[in-house]
Amino acid sequence: MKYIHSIIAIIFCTIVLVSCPEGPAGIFSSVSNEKEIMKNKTKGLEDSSPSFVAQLGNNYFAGIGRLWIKSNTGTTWNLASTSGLPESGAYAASGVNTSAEIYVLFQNASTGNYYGVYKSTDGSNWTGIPNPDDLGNKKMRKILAANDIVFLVCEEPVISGSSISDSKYSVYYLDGTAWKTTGIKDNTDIGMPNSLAHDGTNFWVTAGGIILKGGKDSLAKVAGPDDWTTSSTASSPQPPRYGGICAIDTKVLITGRFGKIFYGDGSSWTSSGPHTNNDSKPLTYSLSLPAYDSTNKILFVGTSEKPLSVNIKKVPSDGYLEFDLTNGFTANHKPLLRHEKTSDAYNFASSLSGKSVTAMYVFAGSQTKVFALSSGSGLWSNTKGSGSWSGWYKE
Amino acid sequence: MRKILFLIVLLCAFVMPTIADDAVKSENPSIQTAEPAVGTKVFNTFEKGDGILTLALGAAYPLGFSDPYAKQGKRPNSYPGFSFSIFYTGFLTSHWTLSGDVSGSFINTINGERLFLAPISIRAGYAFTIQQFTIMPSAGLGLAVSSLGEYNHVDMLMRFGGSFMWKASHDMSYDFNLFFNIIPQIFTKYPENTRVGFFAETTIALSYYL
Repeated sequence: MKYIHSIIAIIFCTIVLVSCPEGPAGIFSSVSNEKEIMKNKTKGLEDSSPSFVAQLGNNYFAGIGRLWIKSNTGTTWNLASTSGLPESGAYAASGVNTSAEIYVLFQNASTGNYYGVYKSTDGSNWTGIPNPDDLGNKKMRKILAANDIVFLVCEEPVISGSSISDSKYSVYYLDGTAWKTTGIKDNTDIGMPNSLAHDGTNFWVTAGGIILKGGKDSLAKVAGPDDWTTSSTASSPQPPRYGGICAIDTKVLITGRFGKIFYGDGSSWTSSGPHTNNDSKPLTYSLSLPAYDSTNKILFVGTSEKPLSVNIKKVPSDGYLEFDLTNGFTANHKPLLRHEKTSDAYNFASSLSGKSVTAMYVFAGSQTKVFALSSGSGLWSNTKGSGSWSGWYKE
Repeated sequence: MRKILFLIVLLCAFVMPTIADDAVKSENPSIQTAEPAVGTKVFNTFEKGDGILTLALGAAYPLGFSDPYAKQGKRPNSYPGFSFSIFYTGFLTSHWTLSGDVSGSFINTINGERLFLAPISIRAGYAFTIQQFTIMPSAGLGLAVSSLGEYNHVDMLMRFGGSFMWKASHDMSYDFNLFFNIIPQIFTKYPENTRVGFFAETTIALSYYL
């Protein structure tokens, strides 16, 4: 009888130390409500980190090392044709699509050197686009597209003595078959331009801790909602402030790498967050490339575990955040805890929960298809045809 | 969080045997027996105060779940997994026992998620001895720690089953264990997630007689 106190103490300690906040899916309930989401996965892509997804006609293209293709009615991904490319095993580093073409920045799989940008109208035959006239020592890094205009981002290191002191960025737009300057040339004030949107009038670009805005040939720095306060250099690097940008109606929505979301037109910004994980010791999410489904009024924002800086290495991730924008974006807008617009808590728990998502893509058409690009956990998709959402499945 | 769980499991593994052993050694009124005939004495296989330490490895089987809200059973949606346990059995008399055990099970779901269960219980049992064999059914209550992804939960546990033991030598035996766990998992913030889990374990064990 005297040991009843020890037993009670053990039980108390166990409950205190082990009990954690309840998740929206539970544990046994999550297991019992699982449905097979891996049945159509493509072997070899399970643990991949896709770099982009694009759509051309009835086909989707993904950059997962090499270029992969899948029809919108197919079940598995296959390697795309490389006819016209200098190497059959070339890597697809970056890719975008316009309404009639797909553009991919290919690189040598062995050396990492970039072959350049190639385009295709059918996804099988590729035609190279001449490099910018003033490319020089610049390295092609990324291609972006909005409003049927393709942009090319180049980077060149600034050498000081025997070390790199800074990076210069140049952004071009494609005019027919020639690259022309956007006005951003050898710029050391900005970070790497990584995301592009068009609000119906202007192009917007997120570049590290700087926002660019303007016409295709007149991009310029504008005051953003969370800009760097000092310039970022190699000796004093600043963590990127912005994760990505997308257009919503006539305004833009910018995700922040310190958990906030900003919505506005440049003259004023509405912000929500910082958004944190559902834990007893909440940590702020680093938000990545967003996507907006204008048909169903749903905003998708990925949470990335990529370290913010050498000092901020621990970053939580939990798939993506889902926002219902049926009534617009408001200050302190909160994500749907159970992801009930496109799936449910159980489907999310067995698919993207806990995973690092670097980008979200939405493709509208006869069906709406959303892709989530994870870091090390492959490619995921959710589809809405004439009925309800399918839930998340592994590609 | 998993490190904390592991420390708790280790803590209970060291504490439970002490509790069971001390409970056995608490004084009981002596029982008057007739003096055996000269030259004969009956020895039972087990005597009051004996102890058995068991290390077991085997398989865990998810049997299914019960949804009290939908009033229906749910499929396990998972596969048999690995199970291990350590328990101490103390003899209160030559037949009645009190055991404390700590177990762990790793079960994969149909989508490759890993469900971890750690039942911790105290069981009362009765030993039937037939020559070198002992059959020991038992039942008890305890706690079960469950973990899936980043979420953990502690629930009540009902555990029952039995051990079939073959005494290979005077101080050890080889056992086969079959236990069932019933774990009601109650949520308050999301009550629709409340479920009752049913699991089974079959293990092969090595027991040391102390």
